[in-house]
Amino acid sequence: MKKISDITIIDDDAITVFGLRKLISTSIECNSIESYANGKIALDALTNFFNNNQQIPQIIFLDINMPIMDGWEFLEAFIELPITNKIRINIVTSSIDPRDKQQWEHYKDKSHHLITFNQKPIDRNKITEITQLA
Amino acid sequence: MFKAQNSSSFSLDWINQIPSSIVIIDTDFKLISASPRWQANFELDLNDIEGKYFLDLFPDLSQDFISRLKYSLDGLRDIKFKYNAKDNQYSSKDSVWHLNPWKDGYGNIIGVIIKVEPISKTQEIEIELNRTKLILNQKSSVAKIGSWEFDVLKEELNWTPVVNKIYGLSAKFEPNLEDAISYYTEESREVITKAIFEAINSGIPWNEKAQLKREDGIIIWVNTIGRPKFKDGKCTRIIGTIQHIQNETKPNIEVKDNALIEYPLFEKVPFGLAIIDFSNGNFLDVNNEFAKLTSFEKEHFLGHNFKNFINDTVKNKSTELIDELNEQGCFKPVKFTYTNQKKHNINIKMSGTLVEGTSGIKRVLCTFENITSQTKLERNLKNTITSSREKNEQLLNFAHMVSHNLKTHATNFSLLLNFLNDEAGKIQRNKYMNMLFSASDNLSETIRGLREIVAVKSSINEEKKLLSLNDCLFVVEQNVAGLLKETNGKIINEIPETTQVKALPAYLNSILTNCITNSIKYRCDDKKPIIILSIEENKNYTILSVEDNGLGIDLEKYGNELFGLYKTFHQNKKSRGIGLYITKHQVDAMNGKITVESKPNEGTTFRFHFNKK
Repeated sequence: MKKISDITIIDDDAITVFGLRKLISTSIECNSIESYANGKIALDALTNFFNNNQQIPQIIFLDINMPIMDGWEFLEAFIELPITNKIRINIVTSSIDPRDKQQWEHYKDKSHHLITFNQKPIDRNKITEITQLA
Repeated sequence: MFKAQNSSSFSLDWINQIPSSIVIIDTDFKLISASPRWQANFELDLNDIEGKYFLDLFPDLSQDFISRLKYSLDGLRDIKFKYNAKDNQYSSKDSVWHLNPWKDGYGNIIGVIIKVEPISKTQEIEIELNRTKLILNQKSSVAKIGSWEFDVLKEELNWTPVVNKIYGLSAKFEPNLEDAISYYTEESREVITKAIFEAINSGIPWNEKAQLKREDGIIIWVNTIGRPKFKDGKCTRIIGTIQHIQNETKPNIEVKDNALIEYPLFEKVPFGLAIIDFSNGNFLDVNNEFAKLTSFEKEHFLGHNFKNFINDTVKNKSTELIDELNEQGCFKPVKFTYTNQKKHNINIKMSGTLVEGTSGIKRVLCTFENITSQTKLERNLKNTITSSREKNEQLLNFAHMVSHNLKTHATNFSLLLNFLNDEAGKIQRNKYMNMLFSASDNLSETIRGLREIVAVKSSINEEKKLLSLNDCLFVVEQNVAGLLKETNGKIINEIPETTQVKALPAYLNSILTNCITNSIKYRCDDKKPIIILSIEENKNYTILSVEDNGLGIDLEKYGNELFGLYKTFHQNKKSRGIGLYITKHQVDAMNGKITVESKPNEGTTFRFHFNKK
């Protein structure tokens, strides 16, 4: 398996972040795992990386319901960044609202990044599957 | 034979042009014809049922209906009959049947026209009312109708005392045929003599309007009906009635004769009809129902352009309608509001067909139906549907929200428990235990929030009371006193002592508490929180302004989401995204409004509009 260099988790729930970190770090090899508590902080950080020609994480785990800037607003802004690399964005949610699935399809078609929609709970097999490079 | 010729001399083709649901039956209750709509209503094909005994088609119709048919054949107009679909095999809808006598060009009743209309609750009540009225009317008209019997063989005439009254004769007067006829005016005398002759020799019944010169010299119009009775092929008796009529005058009928011959049902149908000259749009004729609908005299319309009587909406559509008439020979029903002479607004459904008279002149035959009660019901139904759709949407949203929230916690629990299960180290296990505790706290917190939301939704039915705003504020100030002291905050109250608002006490308390706590919670770090409360009044609302010097919010960015559930805009551990959502619901439930003004880092002003009603 090709080694993943950077992974980012965007979620406001501390326990979910902890769980994902633990699952990822025990399933695959990667350099670093960063986490941000909402879309705004994450977007600021990633935009900063981009402007300074720093490495953009190859895989992003994204929650939908977050304060200040939610997952969709983050996606809207993120896909506007002129990033040529194909990034894998895994949406992770416990929502069963069909409108969320429609939103996902909307963004999936709009962007060249790989965007997947995953419903909680996420187990070890699922993590390995969705942590492949895009 | 004579009768048969008469009925076939009308072209019944035009029943196909009638947009209403109509069936015609003859005096033997055999089905003569039916409009396409009627055939569709009862899922019957005219080809299969033409000439069939009507009561065979509807075997379950009550004796009540048959006696109504007989009334109708006796000349009574607009008899209503309620048809219960569930008793019968055809048509799944209850309806009202309007029975009217069908007359040939000579005024002979040759059958019954039945118009079928869908029923509404209001109409049902109306029918009950009309039934009572009908009985009363029958009583009063029975008093005015005199009946008589002529024994042809014995040449004996007997009549009831009412006839004496109509003739202006004393009750003692005993009539004979010659006397009876001699009281008619010369012209009418001829008509009656001929009618009697034809009745005896050809068995033709009569129904004539005639002029009678009473004993006191006054000339009156009477309606006389005679029916010959036969025994062994010979006419033995004639029975009949005579009735004083005031409102109908012969000349009027003669003027209308042209129209009547072409449209034999013109005055008989229970809805408004108008014939309009297609070339210039002038009214050629309108029927009594039309006059009744508009509450104007017929003369108000005749010879005038139809455009003078309709509102702009229909006027603007009239070119369209003319196009439709040119292309398809008819136009689809148009609904509009009409203000009649009594200044009542009524909802009218109009449909029209292009007809070419015998003279080749093109005319438009328009039907007008009063659909006011239907329209009202429709509107109520639409409102109910809209509001239940909204409620449904809200419920679904709520269900999604609840399941989402609970699932988040459930997955956290299972995740942590799995980790705990795999872990042997005591320090790590303790760490997981602590996380489990915090997960359980989070779950309790979420459930508490949901309970608050449910509480708002379920107490909407309570009644508003007139409350002193300052009294309520005093209670809230006590509750937030600790918070104020901790932050060195200050509340400046500019509300006049007398100010009262109409509100639910619990809601008002919750709104004030929430707003003031928010002002303190989202204060600027470098400023002491200051909250200013003031009042404005306008016609409909008492407006409470709550102004603070806090963090403020970028309304351009978040304005749409400000009152959304789980929307938080500041990094604050205590934010739940529930407060403003609940406030909004509470204000909405009291028919109020909220407006917001805010500038980041300068402060926010919430304006709560309390409805005065």
